[in-house]
Amino acid sequence: MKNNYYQIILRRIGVLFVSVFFVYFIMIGLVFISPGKEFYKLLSPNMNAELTNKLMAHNQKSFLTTSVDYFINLIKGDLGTSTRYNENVSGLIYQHILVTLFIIVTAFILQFIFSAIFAYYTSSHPNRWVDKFADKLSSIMYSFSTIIVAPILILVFSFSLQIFPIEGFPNFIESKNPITIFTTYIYYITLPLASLIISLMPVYYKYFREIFFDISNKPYILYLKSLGINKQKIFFKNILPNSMNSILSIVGIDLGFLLSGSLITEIIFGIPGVGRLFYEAIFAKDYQLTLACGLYSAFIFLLLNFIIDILRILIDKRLLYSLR
Amino acid sequence: MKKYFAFALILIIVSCSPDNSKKPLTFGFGVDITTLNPMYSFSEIESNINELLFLSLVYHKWDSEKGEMSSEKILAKKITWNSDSSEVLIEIRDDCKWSDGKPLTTDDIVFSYDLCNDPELESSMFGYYTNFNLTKSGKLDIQKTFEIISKYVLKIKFRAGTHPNDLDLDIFILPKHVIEKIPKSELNRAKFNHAPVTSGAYKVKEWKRNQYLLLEKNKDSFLVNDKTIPLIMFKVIPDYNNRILQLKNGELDFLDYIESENVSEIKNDGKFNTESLEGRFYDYIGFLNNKDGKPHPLFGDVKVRKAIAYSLDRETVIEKFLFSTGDLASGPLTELFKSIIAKQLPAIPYNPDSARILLTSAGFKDKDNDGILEKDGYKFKFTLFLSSGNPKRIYAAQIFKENLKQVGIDMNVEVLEINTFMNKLFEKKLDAWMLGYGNSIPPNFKLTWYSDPQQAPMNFFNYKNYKVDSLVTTFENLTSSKKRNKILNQINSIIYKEQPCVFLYYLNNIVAINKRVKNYTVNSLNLFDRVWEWEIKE
Repeated sequence: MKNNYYQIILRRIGVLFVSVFFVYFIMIGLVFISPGKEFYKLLSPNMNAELTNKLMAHNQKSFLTTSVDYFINLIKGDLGTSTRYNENVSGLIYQHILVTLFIIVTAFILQFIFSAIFAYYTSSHPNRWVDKFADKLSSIMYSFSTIIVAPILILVFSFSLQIFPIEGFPNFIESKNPITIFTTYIYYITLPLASLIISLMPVYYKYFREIFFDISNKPYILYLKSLGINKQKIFFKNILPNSMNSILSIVGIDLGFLLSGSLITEIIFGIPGVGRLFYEAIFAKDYQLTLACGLYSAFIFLLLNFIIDILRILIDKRLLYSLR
Repeated sequence: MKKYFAFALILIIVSCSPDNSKKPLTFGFGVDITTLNPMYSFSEIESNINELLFLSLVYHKWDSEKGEMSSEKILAKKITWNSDSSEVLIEIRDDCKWSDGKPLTTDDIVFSYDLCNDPELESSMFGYYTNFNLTKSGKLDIQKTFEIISKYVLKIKFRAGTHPNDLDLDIFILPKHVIEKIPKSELNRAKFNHAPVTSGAYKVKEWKRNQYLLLEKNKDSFLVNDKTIPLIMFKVIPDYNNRILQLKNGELDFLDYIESENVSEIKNDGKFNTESLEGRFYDYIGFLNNKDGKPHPLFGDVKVRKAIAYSLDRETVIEKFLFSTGDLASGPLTELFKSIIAKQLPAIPYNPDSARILLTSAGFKDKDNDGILEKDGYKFKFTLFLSSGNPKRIYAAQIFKENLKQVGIDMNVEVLEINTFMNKLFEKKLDAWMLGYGNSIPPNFKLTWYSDPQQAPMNFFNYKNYKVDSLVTTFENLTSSKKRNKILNQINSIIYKEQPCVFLYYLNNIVAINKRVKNYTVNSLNLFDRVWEWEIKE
């Protein structure tokens, strides 16, 4: 049994790396066929002829030599040098990924808790007006993605009500007072978080509502209820653990949404995360940085999926065979 | 049993009263800078920041009244040129130290000159060493060029037959003891690029990418005194509206490129001093003058290009979209160069009748009465390409489209993504386009108007004029600034007559500075000049 377990994990890791390499290769191709040069340098009024010609010569390499060069460097653990920032790409990504992770994780946890709470309430009061209303509302909200929600929030809360800023991140706080720091963060990240949460919550609410309702009508739960055990105790001890498996499988699929959602949020709200770094790298024709950002996103997505699969196996051993 | 979940998000707004005099002098920018290493800095802002961090032998400042550049000694204490200016003896200050405590000596100067012209490194100064002795591989010939007399005295010998001046001495001095330890292949990604060892009036305290750069007063520097502002911050705020908002509520002290629609609002606010930095930049509509070695079928004719210039109502654009923050342009020599311009050439006025006469004399007639001119069977139709990201330019193009329709020219407007646009421009695949250009100081006409594409990569027009070529060559061999200026004027008037592109308007850069900042200097050469002399008074 244990041997089997390691075998599966090793195989999954193998698949993970093959997928990452495949993604990387496709991205090199995409970057290669895209037009443009490091034009931002060429727009400098202080350019001279010799240097311009030298920079222009950069793009003369063939696709094969470029991709082989990149792969060799990647195996060496060197992601390359950013031409936009004159810095090692890994260091740059490290600086920006913390911000992205902060946003993603906070948004995810918050929406997870909110939708679970709402779903708990409505599933324990089925067919009441609250339940029906929430059902209809979530169907409508389902069609609102981050790219629609974010501008609406800005329009309402920044332009009309002027409660929150249009964009930005608490980038420089002089005060050491923890309350000031906290309020500054709230001031800046409420809208970005809200736009992510609003676009994700309807989906999760529906899943939770469905699963909670399903499980609470299972014979063993009904039996427990008939014994007169506290409803809350049943929920936390029986319903929630039993629903986790199905929920986690959905989380794995939805991580892609979350990553792309955070990319849009970062660009709209000017948050210095990997999404904005990626976006700027593309426009500055910073090949190495573009590739590295893509690689990181793909890697994180695959890695989290891998971790979620392991979690699911830990929760439910029966999955060991179906998940190979 | 019912359970109610109540969520209360209580925002405690603590009314703290920060001490404003300690608040750093804050500059607002839309995009983060690339690097702090002067070797790799290409943008204006970067070189302005470098001026705060690194010393150079001489410093160039701009006299807005006279419109000329003058040099001033900064690291150098004494500069003695010999009679034919082929050699220069430089004595530098002996009290300058690097931020790690090591003294700054002539070794650092020689090292910096050598490094910046290394062909392997693609430094932004590469290609400027035309007055120096170079080896066959393109490197600087150190043996022939430098003579180190002592730790603080140095002699520089220039190539015979050249005419060096103070501009050849204006390079940032880099720390030899730090950079020589970095392998050359690693230099473009070294830690030095974002956490440099510096010698200027300020040193780097913290740099968070895409967030802010914080500089701290270098107390050991001879440039600073008690009144010098202790902290300077460069804040990255991508959204323009947010920058304006932060300027208004006092979070920013300095903001440049204020859009024309906000100018009057900022001026009337009373909290700011506004400065208008005059036309270093201009917008133009460019035409491919020659295609595949032959004159372009439409734009190869001077009359056609002039007719287009006559038919564009630029005054309306300046009034309606630029809110009079620009001036009508006439030629490539922008109004910034007051000392050079002998006589301001009159801008071509809006006059559709003259345009029609010119087009008729160029052979264009509307034979089939469909409102569009024809010649030899083909219609006067073309597409004007623009790059994305500049909405004002796109509005202006729509107005010009209507203007041209009135004289019988059918112009389409197409917006391209900027990379695609630049790519096509460099490959000379665009017949007509609209773009801006910023003049270098002093102006370099060879880059844009010389006919050899190898030496003039910015000549997107395929413009060929042998008179201009010979003038540019003569210009390079002259020393007297009077004669040089005369030639610049000659080139300017030739370009004006030929109109290889239609010069639309010179654009002003409007800068707002919070009134708490005193004694500031801003000009077209240095957006923020000698910040160590600025002061903050509440």
